[in-house]
Amino acid sequence: MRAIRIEGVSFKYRGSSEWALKDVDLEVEEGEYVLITGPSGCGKTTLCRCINGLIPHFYEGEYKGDVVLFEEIEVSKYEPYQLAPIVGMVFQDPESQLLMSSVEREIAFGLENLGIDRDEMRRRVEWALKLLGIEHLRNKAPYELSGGEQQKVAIASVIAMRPRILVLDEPTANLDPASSLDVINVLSDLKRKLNITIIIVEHRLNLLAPIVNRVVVMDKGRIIIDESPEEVFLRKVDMLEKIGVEVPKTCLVYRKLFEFENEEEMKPPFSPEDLVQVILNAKKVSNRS
Amino acid sequence: MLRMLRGFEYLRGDSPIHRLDPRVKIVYSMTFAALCFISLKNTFLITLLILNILVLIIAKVIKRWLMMLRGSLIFLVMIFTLNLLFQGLANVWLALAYTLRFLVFMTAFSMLFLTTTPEDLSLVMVKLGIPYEYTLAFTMAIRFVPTLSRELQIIIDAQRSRGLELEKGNFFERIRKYMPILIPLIVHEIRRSYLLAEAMESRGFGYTRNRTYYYEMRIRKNDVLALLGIISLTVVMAFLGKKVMWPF
Amino acid sequence: MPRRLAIEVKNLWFKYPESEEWVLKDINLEIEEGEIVAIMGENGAGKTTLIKHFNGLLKPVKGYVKVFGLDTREHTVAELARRVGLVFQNPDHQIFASTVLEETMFALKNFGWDLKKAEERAVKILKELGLYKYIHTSPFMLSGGEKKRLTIASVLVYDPDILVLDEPTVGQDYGQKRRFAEIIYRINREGKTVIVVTHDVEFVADYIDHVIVMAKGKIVAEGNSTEVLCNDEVMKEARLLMPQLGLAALMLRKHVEFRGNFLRLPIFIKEVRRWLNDA
Repeated sequence: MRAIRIEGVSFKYRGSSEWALKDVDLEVEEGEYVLITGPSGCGKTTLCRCINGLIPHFYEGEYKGDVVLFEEIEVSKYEPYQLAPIVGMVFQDPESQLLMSSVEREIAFGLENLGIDRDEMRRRVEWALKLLGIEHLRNKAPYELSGGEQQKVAIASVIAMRPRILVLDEPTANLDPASSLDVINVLSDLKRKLNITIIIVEHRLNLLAPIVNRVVVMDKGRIIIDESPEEVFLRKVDMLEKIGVEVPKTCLVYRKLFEFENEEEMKPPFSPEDLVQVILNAKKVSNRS
Repeated sequence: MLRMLRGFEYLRGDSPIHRLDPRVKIVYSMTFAALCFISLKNTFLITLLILNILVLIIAKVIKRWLMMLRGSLIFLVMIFTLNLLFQGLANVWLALAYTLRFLVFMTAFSMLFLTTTPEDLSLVMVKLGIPYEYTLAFTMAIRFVPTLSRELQIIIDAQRSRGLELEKGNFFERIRKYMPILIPLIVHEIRRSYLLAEAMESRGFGYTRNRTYYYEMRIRKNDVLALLGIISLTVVMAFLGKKVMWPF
Repeated sequence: MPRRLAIEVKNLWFKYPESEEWVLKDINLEIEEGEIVAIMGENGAGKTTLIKHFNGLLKPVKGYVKVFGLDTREHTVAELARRVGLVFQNPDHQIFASTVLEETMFALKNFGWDLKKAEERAVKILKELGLYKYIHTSPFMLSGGEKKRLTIASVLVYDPDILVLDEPTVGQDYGQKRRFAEIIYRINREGKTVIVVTHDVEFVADYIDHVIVMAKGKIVAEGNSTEVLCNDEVMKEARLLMPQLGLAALMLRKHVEFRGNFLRLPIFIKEVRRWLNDA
């Protein structure tokens, strides 16, 4: 089943002269892990807002096209808070998402909003704390937490609502490398355990490329590439460099070193370990010949 | 002087007082506040203060209260001096009594705020019939106080790094110099309020009128005991305050 | 002839007055004039606290900090700010004026410049940073990347000898980072010392050679990026990720003898290709 179907969507923010999204088509199957990337201002955040209803209800403007979830829910017909049990969204700035004085209450907030009874709430809060590995933070206040911990709390407070789709808009932008890796690992863990559909907008491609099913690249309001990670970081490298998207260095090295090899068999290495393996194998082959 | 405000900030802890129902603590604060108007005898007021301090010790928040005391010293001295001037320089004991009354009053409420989370206070407000949206605004404002003070410091640092000298200039010049500090702060916080609203909607705020509550207030044995204690203490102190001759 | 010391830090210890914990522990540091240096570490390692000593926002509890020989304990922030330009991470924490021009001129007005000269200077800097077209626009209307450039402009405008940038690449895309590197190279060619505080390892690997690594209030390593960023222990202690090419080079070290700065893509490729082609 298609979890998300975006068809012919165009959007112009009120007061703006430019169209932020131009005739965008995107289909996401249930259970996929999709990475959306592109230079600043390409429309990635705008696209995310179309999925959980912030556009067109919270952000006003001219809206064309359809966004349908699970073949039956037309997003434009619902307020964002009505879609909250289905689509969970995590934003870039951790401090501006956490509004309660303790982690436990923060996670409970969404559940209180949905009117879930107290026993079920307690079960879900415990479940979310455990899932994200943050039980030890349960009584802490947001300002006592590091950026990475804050984002994990934000994710927990969204996951507790058991959405079928999770959208994350640059969740690691404000985090240091160790925390970013931590958050990304936690997401992989979540994906494995819950089989939820995940859409993540990110710039740190080298950490995510090996994990996602699909890479969608946007530029100036349009989707210009929508392929598997291997395809994108092998054959579309020139396009990425032209629009200013960072290509993992391991892929660039691979392409330059093995330019003349058989393209069909190439599999770009996303980690330094994989790159080293490929280089060593190439040496073995050339030693034999 | 800002240290005075820290006596009204929730201090996380695990004491019998922390675990009391917030409504009991509100009753405590209000009765103690009322009690200090019964008599202007210093010994009576000091007794009240000592009783309060005992409770603060049980609540394990005494250090924070001392911090508040240090911070409010200037304020207390001011009250004392003003009273001396208005009541006549001979009435030292009276001026002291007014000062003590203020201190007891502050301490009574300090106890409430030090041991009760803003969310618990909002629960009480909801029970009183105040719509949840308003109590949420209250708890969120309190939650952001540490964040705001940190950001204020960053803004001051950034503008000082561009040569802004806040200490120099006459009164009007100094007021104007706060513009480069207030404007970024206000703009930033307004923008943040939009981000928060976005996050809240995305987590279902407004989904149903019948929201549920994670925490509930329940009157337990300790609460009943505490209430009885407060009532009897109030009766005793009120009687003693009115009927007994307290020295100075 | 040895270059002057732009920044000299000796036995610096610092903690906040209300706290028991030392935030900076026995920091010793020398940065020569005309260098480009990266100070790295995870959030909370003490990097921002350290740079706040460079313009006197914070004063040492023990030890001293000297800027071109001036002891920071004996000068005000306004005095030191003239030599050391500090650009903070989030532009929203400083933008306040009604036009981009006003914003840029702010520091000059504080330093008592003649208004006409101040305006000329501001216009010149804005042109250099590609912001001239916004001169009469409200700075709040600029995009994130443009705001960042504006904060740099508003510090460069008074021509400090040392420019310190706190996390300048956070939230920037690849193209913006590259343009930013060009700006700091240009400033450096004019003779200025540039200090970049960051946790962006890939950015440092691409553009900066001299690296200082901090962890938990101490300096744990200093030197060339190829030595420091590829040292497993140092990176673990500082909770930083090794740059991709650094890790790869480390693993290939048994076989390939890397010459030069192998953290730079072209050099890495050249060295590996040489090894692959050797018989």
